[in-house]
Amino acid sequence: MPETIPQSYANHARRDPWFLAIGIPALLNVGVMIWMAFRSGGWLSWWGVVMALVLVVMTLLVRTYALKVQDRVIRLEERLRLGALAPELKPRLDEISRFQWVALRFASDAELPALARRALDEKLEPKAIKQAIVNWRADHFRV
Amino acid sequence: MKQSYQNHWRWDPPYHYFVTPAVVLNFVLVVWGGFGWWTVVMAAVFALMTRPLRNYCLFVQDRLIRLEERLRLMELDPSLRDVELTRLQWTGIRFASDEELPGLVRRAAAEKLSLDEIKRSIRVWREDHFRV
Repeated sequence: MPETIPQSYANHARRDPWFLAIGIPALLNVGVMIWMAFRSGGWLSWWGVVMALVLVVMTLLVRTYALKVQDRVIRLEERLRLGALAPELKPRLDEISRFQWVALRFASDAELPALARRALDEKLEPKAIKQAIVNWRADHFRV
Repeated sequence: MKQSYQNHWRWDPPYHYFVTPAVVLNFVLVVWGGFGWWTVVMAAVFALMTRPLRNYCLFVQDRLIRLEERLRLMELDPSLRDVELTRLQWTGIRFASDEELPGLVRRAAAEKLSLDEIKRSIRVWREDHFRV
């Protein structure tokens, strides 16, 4: 995402072209392997289908593992930010879920305490949290 | 189910029950099938690749856990700010509740407790579900 366009709710989702460039061929490969297995019919060619699926799962894991660690970093970052802005919320921070934290990071300092309180009291969905943000805090430094 | 010493191990089904057995079986099939030495090498590469896929993220996660625990410790007992523990000791310490953390860290450093000894000493288990 070029930083010339300001980040907002409408364009904040991260699409990694590398991931698609690897994922789409890996997915097509499953189809190719199934087709080849039907044509040759040997049991060994069905093993090719299994390995094609392994490649797809590995592609997904490469990204989801890194995302998960990144989300844990975001939780710590936001815990520290919220702890400084609203120390009275500290005892309740364990109740905020992974995806609530991920959404809250886009909130500016001014609105973060109130939004976190609403997220806790009303159990807001991550999407609702993001939509409630008035001043979007851009995040370009991510996987 | 409540997390405890007995069930705290993290098994990730797509990785541990699908990818890992499949690449091992693939290596066996390739060796046994006799497709030439180069396919054996590539099957080995494919199988070995699955380890860093997970371990690199685990290492970064462990480093993050160390930071989280150092910050928690600073609030609970600032005198322990320079304590030195190993990577695995920190990963065990995270499961300790606030009340027992400073005492356990002190013991772990002094008695060089192993990861398993640390986990076994924990009375009130602090759950961690947010992990790779």
